[in-house]
Amino acid sequence: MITAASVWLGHAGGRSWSCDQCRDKKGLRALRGNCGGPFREDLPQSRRDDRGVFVPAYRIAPDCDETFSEYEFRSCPVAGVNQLAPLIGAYNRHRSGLYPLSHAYPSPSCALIDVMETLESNRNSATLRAQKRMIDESKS
Amino acid sequence: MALRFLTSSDMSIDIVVTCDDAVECTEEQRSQYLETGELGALDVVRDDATRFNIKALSPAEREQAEANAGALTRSELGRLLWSEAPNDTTERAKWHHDLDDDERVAMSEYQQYLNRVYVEMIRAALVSIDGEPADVDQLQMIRPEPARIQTISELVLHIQRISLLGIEGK
Repeated sequence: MITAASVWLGHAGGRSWSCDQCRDKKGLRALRGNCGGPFREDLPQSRRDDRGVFVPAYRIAPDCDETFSEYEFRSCPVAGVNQLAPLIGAYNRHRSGLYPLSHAYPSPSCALIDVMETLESNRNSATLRAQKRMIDESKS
Repeated sequence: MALRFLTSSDMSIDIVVTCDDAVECTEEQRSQYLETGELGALDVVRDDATRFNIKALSPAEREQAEANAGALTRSELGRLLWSEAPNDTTERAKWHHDLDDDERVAMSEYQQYLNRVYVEMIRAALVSIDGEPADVDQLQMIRPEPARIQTISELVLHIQRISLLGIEGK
């Protein structure tokens, strides 16, 4: 879920998640920001169910695909994405042809393969979505 | 969820099980430990607690474990019924009561397959116990029986956590 968020947060650009509770805590941004803790009840986007407070994924990244939109985030997604930064960097370098993933991870675990597959499929989905939007806009 | 797994199948970690007499924790602390693997989540872990060293599974190791458990001959009907079964215990019992005999057999066979997968996963992931090379067969000798079952269950949860993203993450 966090892996997919890393793609859709970037795709949504300026419309993506901007955590009010992180902004309230001065100094968090300077520390590579974002609390990572559970959401407060009083956030404008937050909702509650029997498992606690959550924010629907479509409020995290408004311009996302259907699969991602059904996820429920229970803590700041930016903090999670920051923790995944080394893996996302390795994926980007692999995609740009700088070096193959097997150089960075000679014995990948199932989890790493899963992360890379999720990044790949969500990137493809985001690219298709952007292309479709451009075609739609050019018609209007 | 973020980075609560190992990126390489060459890496390993030490864990303890909460049914160990040298480990003290509340039910909440136990859940947190199983979710994060951080020993700090537990109330007390004495020095004489048994340490299990486990490694993350690679895709090839996971496939091999599933094949050894009988993935190619498992009951597909059982798998389907398993995924459709209600989570609530009472509802699940009523749902199971209404199944036909052959459906019950299929469910049972699939449950047996899952149990075999768990054992095969431990066989592939267990490196050592208290620093000594270990095998899953040693776990089968743990007594009393509830401690053996809980040890196997907790080891599987830790292996899944470090090897795979959770269901929520997919």
